[in-house]
Amino acid sequence: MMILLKETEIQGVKDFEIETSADMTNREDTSRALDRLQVLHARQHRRWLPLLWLLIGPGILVMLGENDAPSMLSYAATGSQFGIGFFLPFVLLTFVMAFIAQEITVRLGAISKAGHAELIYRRFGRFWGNFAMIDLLFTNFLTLVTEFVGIVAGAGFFGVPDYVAVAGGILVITSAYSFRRYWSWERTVLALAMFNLIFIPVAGMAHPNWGAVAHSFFTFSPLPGGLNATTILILLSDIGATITPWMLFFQQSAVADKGLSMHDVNQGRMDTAIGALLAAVAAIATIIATAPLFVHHMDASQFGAAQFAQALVPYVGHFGSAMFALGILEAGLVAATTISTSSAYAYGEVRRQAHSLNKLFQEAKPFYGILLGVLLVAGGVVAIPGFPLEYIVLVVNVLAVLTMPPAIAFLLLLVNDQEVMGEHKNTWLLNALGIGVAVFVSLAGLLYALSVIFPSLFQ
Amino acid sequence: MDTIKALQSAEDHKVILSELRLKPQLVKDVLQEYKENQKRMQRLSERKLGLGLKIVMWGLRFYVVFMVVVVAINVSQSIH
Repeated sequence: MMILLKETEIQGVKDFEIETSADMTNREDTSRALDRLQVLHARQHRRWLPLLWLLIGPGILVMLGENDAPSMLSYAATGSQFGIGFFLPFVLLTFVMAFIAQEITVRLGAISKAGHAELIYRRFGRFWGNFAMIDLLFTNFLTLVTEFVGIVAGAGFFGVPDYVAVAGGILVITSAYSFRRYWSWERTVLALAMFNLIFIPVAGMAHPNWGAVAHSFFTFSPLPGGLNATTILILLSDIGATITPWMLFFQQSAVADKGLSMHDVNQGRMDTAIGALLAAVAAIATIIATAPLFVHHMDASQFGAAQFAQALVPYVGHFGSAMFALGILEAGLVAATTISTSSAYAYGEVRRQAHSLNKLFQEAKPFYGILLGVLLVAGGVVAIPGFPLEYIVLVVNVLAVLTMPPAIAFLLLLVNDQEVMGEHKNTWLLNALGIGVAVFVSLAGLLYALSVIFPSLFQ
Repeated sequence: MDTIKALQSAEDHKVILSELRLKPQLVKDVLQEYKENQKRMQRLSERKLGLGLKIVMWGLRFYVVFMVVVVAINVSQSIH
């Protein structure tokens, strides 16, 4: 009881109501209690590695989930159009910024036990909440469509028809929910997400000049073509491949659903840092893997996933290309899972309906209904013959960046809210870093707008 | 102390979900902090937005709308 009392004292909350036994023994509570028992036991016995193992999940999932099909295509386009140079350290920098933003969601989720959408509605009201939700659901749906584009393209490399790939993808994603526990779902998707690292051996197969790779990290160069409209589009696309609104909503909701407490925040930070590192390495590997296309002057500006895999055959072999296609397929599957979950969490939080992966289907029909519904509609769109999917892929990362400044503003306002965070609100240093990310993302958006409205400035 | 004993018991016997359902007090103790925080959040009301904050939020909203128009222009340019 000592541990629990200490947690209560830190919060300074004494006037809570004790729930009835009947309430406390529902499936959601029991599942969460089972997970928390193991965490408390590991902490009590100072088993730090098992403790970390128990608490990792949301951070790695969100970071590897954001290495989704359009993101990997963006990195592939970067490598094929700019080679090894400026964009390698730039991508690393974007992941540092992603860590700064996502770390805040860990604290918000662990302390409030509420999802991001729920907190926005509660503190800013329905008017502003609706704007945030429109941004989220609109970009989530478009991104989900592109995940299925990735699934279809990856499977297409192996000769799988489009409709079979879509149906198979939905089947794999929904089977992860059949465990009816957050913990089992998280571990299944984590195992799948690890396939994102498949791009690392592909990069090795491309026999890169490792000296040039190291040089680029120290000098942020070369940047072939300088700062023209194409560079700005790729720049924005790579930022959108790393920092997006759905990540904020997903990680905070997942942290709350997992039941992390304020004592788990350090492990939550480690989880996020490990995720950022793994995702950055996979992203950089993708740029390196496709750099031979730049060296051999191949025009890859209009390439989709399947074309990238085909074009890489002379440089990484058929096996390497197959791994690349498999990586795109996996990226689509994992991201489709996390993004659809993010939409369902947000919907449940805003409607104040059950929204937990620890609940049975019967207990949370709207939550699982939204999950399945968005998957079916997005998959269905991809199966429509002649639908202009390439344009959706083109703009999805860009849109994600452009909707990010208000999302970061809500994030910073919430984490500085004394009533929500109490003594755990942001320090001036964390605020400076957070504002820095917001300014950087906003300026990148403005630069993109200038390049579109006044193209002559960037020729 | 009961909870600590129960924790040790949980590890020793590898308690499973169905067994835990029969121990409502243990579930209640373990989720005490979780429930307190949930209740604390439910009590929160809408915060008052100052003029400066409203200006920033409207500014960011116009930024998004403007950028969506820019993206539409860019896509249109790409198609043609």
